[in-house]
Amino acid sequence: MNPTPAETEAPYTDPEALLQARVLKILKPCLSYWLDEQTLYLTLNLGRPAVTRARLEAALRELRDKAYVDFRVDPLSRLTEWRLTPSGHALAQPL
Amino acid sequence: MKDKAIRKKVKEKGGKTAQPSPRSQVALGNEESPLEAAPAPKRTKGAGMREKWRKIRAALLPNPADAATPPRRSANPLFDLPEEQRAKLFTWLRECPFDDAVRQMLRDQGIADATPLQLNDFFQHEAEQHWEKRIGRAAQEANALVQLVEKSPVRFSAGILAALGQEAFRQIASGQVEPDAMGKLATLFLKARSDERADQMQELKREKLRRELQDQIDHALEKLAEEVDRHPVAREAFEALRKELATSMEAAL
Repeated sequence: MNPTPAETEAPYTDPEALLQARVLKILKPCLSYWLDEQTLYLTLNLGRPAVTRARLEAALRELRDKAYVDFRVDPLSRLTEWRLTPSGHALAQPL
Repeated sequence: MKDKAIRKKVKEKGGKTAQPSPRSQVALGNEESPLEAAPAPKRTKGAGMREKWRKIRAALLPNPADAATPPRRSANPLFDLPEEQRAKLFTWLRECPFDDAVRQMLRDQGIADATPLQLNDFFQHEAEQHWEKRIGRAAQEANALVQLVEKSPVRFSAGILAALGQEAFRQIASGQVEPDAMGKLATLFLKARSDERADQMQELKREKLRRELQDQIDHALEKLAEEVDRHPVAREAFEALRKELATSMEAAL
């Protein structure tokens, strides 16, 4: 019998959820400081297989919609920067 | 179908004559039938997992991530290497995109042989470790810098302190600046502030000097006027000169 999706639910079986978890993990040690998106992208691609920019943007959008991350555009460098919100920190804590 | 029939029968007869299922006989030693017991919601594997993670988040259960990480050496011999060789291998992997070349270098050094998968696994793990270390240090150093400046006698607004911390974090995280250099940056930051105050002081001194000069000129003109009074012919030319001097002084200020 094929198990239903609810029965097989486990952390990070979904690749997109895994990517979001990796983003949270990267942003976690930044504390309250902003990390620019390019550095985030490069960090994700330290390991292989590579993460595309489109996937990263989708992951960030979803995390932002869930209020786990916050973003701003740096007025001087014009770079988009990200950091965890308090709820994002709480979520990233037990990972 | 058979189960359905049994359930129907149990319902009709109040469950007293229900036949226990073979599973219940094995598991529970032919005790009371589960169908006769108080109805309980069926607990799925997913629900159990969710409950487990809810308890972990609520700190009712230990987080498996906090437990000692099982050694990866059984799966990947590269993690068994001494610290120095691990650092060397990580540098090779970072700088050389060809796994075959790295494997050849490993063989040349007599370190170990590894599959491309093991190399990838090793590199990813080490890179993540390096990243977390660097970012953690950057955040700590930025916080320390902000605290250092906060302790200085000069008061800064929260916005300036936040900008200073952010810049320090960015510099260290980028790997372009050593943490020690942040101390120098703080010193320079404070020095720049004291220089700014010194500039303001200099400006005040210059203003004072200009006023003194103005007073001396006025005094000299008064003296000259006294002399001119003795020669009425030159008085008209003197008044014009005085007016011109006053105008040029105003323009200079």
